[in-house]
This record gives sequence, C-alpha cells and structure tokens, in this order.
Amino acid sequence: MKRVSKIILLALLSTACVPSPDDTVDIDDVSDLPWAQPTYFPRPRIPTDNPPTLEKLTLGRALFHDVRLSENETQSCASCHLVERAFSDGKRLPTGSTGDLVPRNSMGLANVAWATSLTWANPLLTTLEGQALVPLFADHPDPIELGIATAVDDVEARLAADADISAAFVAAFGDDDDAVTIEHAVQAIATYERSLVSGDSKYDRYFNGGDSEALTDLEKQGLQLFFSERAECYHCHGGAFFTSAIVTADSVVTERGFENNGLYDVDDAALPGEHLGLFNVTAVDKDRGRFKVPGLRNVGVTGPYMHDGSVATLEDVVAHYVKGGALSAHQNPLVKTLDLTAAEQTALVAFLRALTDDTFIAP
Amino acid sequence: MKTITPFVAASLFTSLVGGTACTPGDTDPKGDPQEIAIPFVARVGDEAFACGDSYAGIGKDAVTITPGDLRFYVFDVTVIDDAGNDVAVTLVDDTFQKDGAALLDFEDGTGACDTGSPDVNTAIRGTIPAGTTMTAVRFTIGLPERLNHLDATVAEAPFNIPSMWWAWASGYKFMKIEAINDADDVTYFHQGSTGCDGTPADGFTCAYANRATVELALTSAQDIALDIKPLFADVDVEAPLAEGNGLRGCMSFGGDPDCASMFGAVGITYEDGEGAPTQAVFSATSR
Repeated sequence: MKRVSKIILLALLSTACVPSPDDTVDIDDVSDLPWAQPTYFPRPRIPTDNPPTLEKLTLGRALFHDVRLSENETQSCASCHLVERAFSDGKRLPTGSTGDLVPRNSMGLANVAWATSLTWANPLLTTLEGQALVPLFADHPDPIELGIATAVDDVEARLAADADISAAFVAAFGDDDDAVTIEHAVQAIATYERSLVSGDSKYDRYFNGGDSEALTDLEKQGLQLFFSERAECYHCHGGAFFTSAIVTADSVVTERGFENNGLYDVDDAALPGEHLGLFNVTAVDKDRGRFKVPGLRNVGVTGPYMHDGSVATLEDVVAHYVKGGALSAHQNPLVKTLDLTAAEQTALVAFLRALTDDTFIAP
Repeated sequence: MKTITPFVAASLFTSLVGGTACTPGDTDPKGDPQEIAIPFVARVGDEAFACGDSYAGIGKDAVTITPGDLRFYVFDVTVIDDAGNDVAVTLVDDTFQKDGAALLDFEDGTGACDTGSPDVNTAIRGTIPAGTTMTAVRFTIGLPERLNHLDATVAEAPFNIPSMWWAWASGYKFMKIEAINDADDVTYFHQGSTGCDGTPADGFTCAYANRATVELALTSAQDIALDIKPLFADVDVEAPLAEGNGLRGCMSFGGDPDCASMFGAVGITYEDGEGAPTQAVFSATSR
C-alpha cells in the first residue's frame, strides 16, 4: 500500500536506528490484480489454484451474462444479479430457470472477494468457485436455479461451438482440448466476481477522501449514530466493508460472521425450518436463526432486505432494530430496543443511502 | 520513490544484519540484548482458566460459568531493574506483537470460546539490555493512541481481528473477557476508549482513555497471574435482564451499571477513565 511505503521511507530517512523490514511477503501489493481497488481496501484472499488474470476476468464477465449456462438457455447469473442493483435483483425471492421459487433473497455481490463465506447461512462455502456450483447444479429436492446437473456436456458443447467464447477460454486457460469446461467457466466467473470492488460512495469521499462536504448534515448525523452505542449498528456492520464477516490475504483469525438479528423468534415451534439459518448446517443450538452479516455498501439499491426479503424498505429495517426485533432469547444481545427519535431514524436511513457507489452500479 | 542515501543504506544494512528492532542496548559494551519472556497464567479463582471448563462461585450470586473469551492488548512494557531503573522492553514483531504492542490471547477456540482460532499467546516476548535483573514489571493494558485508530480491515496482525475492534473512532477493545452462565447468557467485559470522535484526515480524540497501567514486583522465577474471578465479583451474571436492556456486563460506554466495579477490578476509575491506585486481577505468582 502506498501509504505504508511512505511511512517506511520516512522512518528510514529520519532516524539512524531503523526498524528492520518485515520479512513476510508484501501482502499490501495489489499491482498484480487485474482490477483496481481503493488504497483503503486490503488485498483479498484468493485461492492459489485460481490466480486472477485479465483473460479470466474478461471471460468470466461474458459467462456471468450468458444464458447458455442454464440448461434451458433462459437464465444467467445476471438474471438474479443485476449491476444496477449492485448485483441483487430487487425481488423478495428469486425464481429459477424452470419456475422453482428459491427461498433466499438474492444477495448483492459488491466486495464479495472479501466474504468469509458465501450465501446466507453456509460456513462451508468459503470460495466463490465453490459457491458458483450451487446455482449451476442445484437440483430437486432443492430448487432448480440454472439447472445444468444433467446437461454439463450440452453446455460445454454450446460454448465450444462458439468461436469467440472458445477463443476466450483458450486465452484464459491455454490451448488444449479441455479449455472449454464448466470447471474453467467457474474459475473465470469467480475471477470476474472478485473484480466487483465497490468503495467510492459519498461516505468514502467524506471519510477516506477528506472531503468534509461530501455528506449532508443529515447524513453526517446518521454516520455518528451508526457508529455509536445509540444505534449499535457498527458492532456487526462495521469496518471498511460494513460487515465483520470479512477475510483478507492477511487474516490470522477469520470471523464466522453469522448472527441472529431477531427477525423471528426461533424458539417458536411453528416457525418454518428455513428461518433457522446456520443451525441447519451446524446443528448447534446457539446457531438457531443465525445468518451471515451482509455488507451494507449499496444497501440503498439492494432491497428488499433480510435472508427472505421480508423487510421491504430501509425505513422498515431501521424500525425493526429500534423495536429490538423479535426480542427472542436467541438473538444477539446487541439487537435490543433502541432509543432513537423519528428524526434520528431518518438520519440513519440517509446515511445508509450515502453508501451507494454510483460508479459501481452504472450499467 | 526517492533514492536511498548511502547513510540510510548503511543504517538499513546494519539493522538487517542485527536482526531485531533497535534497542537502547544496541551500543552496550556488555553485548547483545538478552531475550525476555514475561509469562502470564490465567485463572478463575484458584483454578486454571480453560475454555470448555466450568467454574462455580462466580458473580454476585456465586453461580457457575464457562469462559467465552479472554484476550487483551498491552504496550509500554517496562522492566524495573535491581537499581530501581526503568528498562524498556523492546517487543519482538510476530503474529501477536507489532510496533510495541502485544495481544495476549488465552482462549483456544474450544468450548464456548467461539472465536474460530485455536492459537494462544500467553507471554510477552522481547529484548532488554544484557545483564538486566528484573525486580518488577509495568505494562499498560490497551493500545496507545497512535495504534488505536486503525482500520482493522487493513491493519497488520495483531490489529486485524474484527472481534477485537469497535470502529475507527472508538478504536479497539483493550480487553475482551466474557463469561457464559448455564442459560447460555453472556456477561461481557469489553473495555476500550470511549467518547471518541474524528476522521482519518482530522485525526481522532477520545474523552475517556480507559487505559490501566499495572505494576507488579516480579522476578524471572515468577509468572503474572491473571484472575478473572474478581472482575465479575459485583456483577449479576444470572438474573433476567431489565426490560429493553439486552446486555449483561460492561462495554465501557457511559451509563453502564456494571462498569464501575469491572473497571475498578482492573484499575481504572470509570467516572474519568483514568488509572486507579488498586487493581484486583493481576498478581505475581511463583512458577
């Protein structure tokens, strides 16, 4: 990171007794990545078996928008992940390519390179390569999304028959008969997704860019509340990515990042099992109702909200937290009744809207 | 980047050859600095602290708890020698120590210590001038201002642990100690600076420093015992919470009813965030 280099240089020039350089690799060097990121973002952790290249990124962008990656050629990743909604879809719940309703709200993909895990409640999906297989291959009894479980050969043949796409596979993965594979497609898509970096909102210009006029007074009031004990938001939604569920190239301890925010009373026997979240994977009682803490960048355009899309607007989200949620015994104790006036709640919503990165969501 | 002058290059070469960061003893004619490790042993009353174990007699009503966390930062580590002089300890840089601060970590991720990390760090490691005889030690709990307003997302270890961090302005949790009762309710002790404000461009200030400085008579044959039982002595870790109050224990912020006694146990006056003359948690113990 340029900032760190300058500090080391100043130390060298200003004292005879210099600290010895750190002997680890400079993990702040992002010059090899085929995408730009703000200096106030860390290097993401990238699987060593899929180093990012511009060729993979270009292919991945094309495939992300390519309906030939669904069996019936009606849907692509982009069908439920639209750029103008920061790669969410504006619906409560999505519908797959064969008409199945998917019980999880489509998540925005901004800064997904730093996610500790993917999807709403699965600690085992720790790579984008692993996650991509879910919408591609999900089959009954799970809802079908792109539905290629029985059509892998067909999908590969379609792509191989397309001269431009084939050439892009070869450029990214080398010139042999096995260039056009679903495995390579997944690696390319993951590389493209890692490039979805969002860090240029009005908040960033104010906080990281030193522009004291970048936020209105109302938005600044909302910022103060967000990072205070009055609203408690920052405990789970803090940091550069507005979530604690972050992993970087330098992480020593990885937060799991799943919390119960009191959306439902998970001890209610009538509650459908899909609202138990993490518990359905771990079978550990304290994980009942825990879901991944999403990052809040671009939250102004990623509604409706929560794992089931059941909270329609940001005003409703703030009202949920002011109420203390379901006041359930399992919810995180920091989700409690809040003493915030109506004007303060309006300020919070204004601040949340100031987290939108207009460059990121431009088509 | 500017060209490095020969003077600077020579200094860099010397320090590279010398290995660790510079110490005042570098030019000591007696020889190379000596390594020192200041070990801590964590206890709950008379019993050794361990994640997954249960301890009776904790809190105002003497109930049973299991630990949820035990981690804290220290800096300004100083040895007092046999002539009564302060001798600064130069901390070695590694995963748990950086730039003069160390994270001590007694939880191993097992039991109810839900941190996802098996690593522990129970000693402060550094160097002091050769021939120093330790008779006492002094350290400050927490991080100095220059390290307390980083972004944990991009900071180097040990300042990149999100659960030990609050935010840019409010900084890090200096101590994070948690006890869990039989109903799975957590009693928290999250101590850090409060009343903080600012931006990276303007800098940050905090109204309440909340840093405790601990000084103990200590020889190289002794460990520092850290007993968390006194921390919870006046705290109700069991009764149902008052309406709308979801939090048990102390998270350092104003108006928190358990903070006065918990701060007092580690040697801080809650009302003004300054050091208090006594503390009940740290003591010297023979190995």
